[in-house]
Amino acid sequence: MIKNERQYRITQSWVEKCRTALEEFEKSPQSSSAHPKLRKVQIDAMHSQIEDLEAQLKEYHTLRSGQRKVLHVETFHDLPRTLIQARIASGMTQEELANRLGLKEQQIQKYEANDYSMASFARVAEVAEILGVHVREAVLSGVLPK
Amino acid sequence: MLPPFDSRGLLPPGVHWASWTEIEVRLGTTSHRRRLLAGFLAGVIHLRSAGCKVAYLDGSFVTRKRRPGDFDACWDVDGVDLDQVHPVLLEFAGRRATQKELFGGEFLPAQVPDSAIGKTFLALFQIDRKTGAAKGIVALNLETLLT
Repeated sequence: MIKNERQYRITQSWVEKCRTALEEFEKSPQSSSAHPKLRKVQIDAMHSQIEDLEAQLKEYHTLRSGQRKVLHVETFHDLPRTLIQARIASGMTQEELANRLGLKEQQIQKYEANDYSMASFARVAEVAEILGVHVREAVLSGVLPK
Repeated sequence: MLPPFDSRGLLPPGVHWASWTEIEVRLGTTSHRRRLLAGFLAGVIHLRSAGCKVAYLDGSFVTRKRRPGDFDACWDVDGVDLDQVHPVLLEFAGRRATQKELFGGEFLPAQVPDSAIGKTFLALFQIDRKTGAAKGIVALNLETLLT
């Protein structure tokens, strides 16, 4: 997941390099000693890598543009990722969020890099409040007695 | 021997060879991680039977992250009979969706020709895409895997 502008730029440049490399490879002559399937496997893998990076760029861009108003959370494990998405969508930088919490930017970077696993529940709740993330519905399934 | 994670929570730069036992001990620290490792093992056993000698583990699985989403692996194509490789391991569409479904993670061929990309997937694995800095990965010798 791309979490800030710097990662976005690095990923963009990565995609450019991969696209160029793939073009060159597709133009290059087939090696006579290699397994006949190998070339297709390598090309497919490279295509897949580019597709992956482009999907990550698109996700970040969509969030930044404010097109997504509702973020769906399936499990509590997804909640931290949603907080990161909410921060990006709000246009708040990691530094700005850190300032609001009275922390250093590095701390927010660490929290986000570890999906808030190192943050206390109170901290997670605080971040959710600052970002205006509200839980509308918590569905109980498999817990209630029949 | 796997070195300790550095201050970023990553392995120090380089390719770190480890035995399966060491991988289990150092990286299989939760039940979730052990499930992912089981999937990785299933994949590398398939690869080994097709002649693959080395597999590499990368991504958030080889960091201090408590709950990685999945694992990222790549495999050395040297000596591999691609006709014997499990078809799902050669299926990369949809961001390696079928691999993730079957094994819980993804497997990419380690080599693409140097001249094409200037770097192979193996080399790309050793760069932290978030910062551009070097980071370490884990290497597993498949020839001695089950001995």
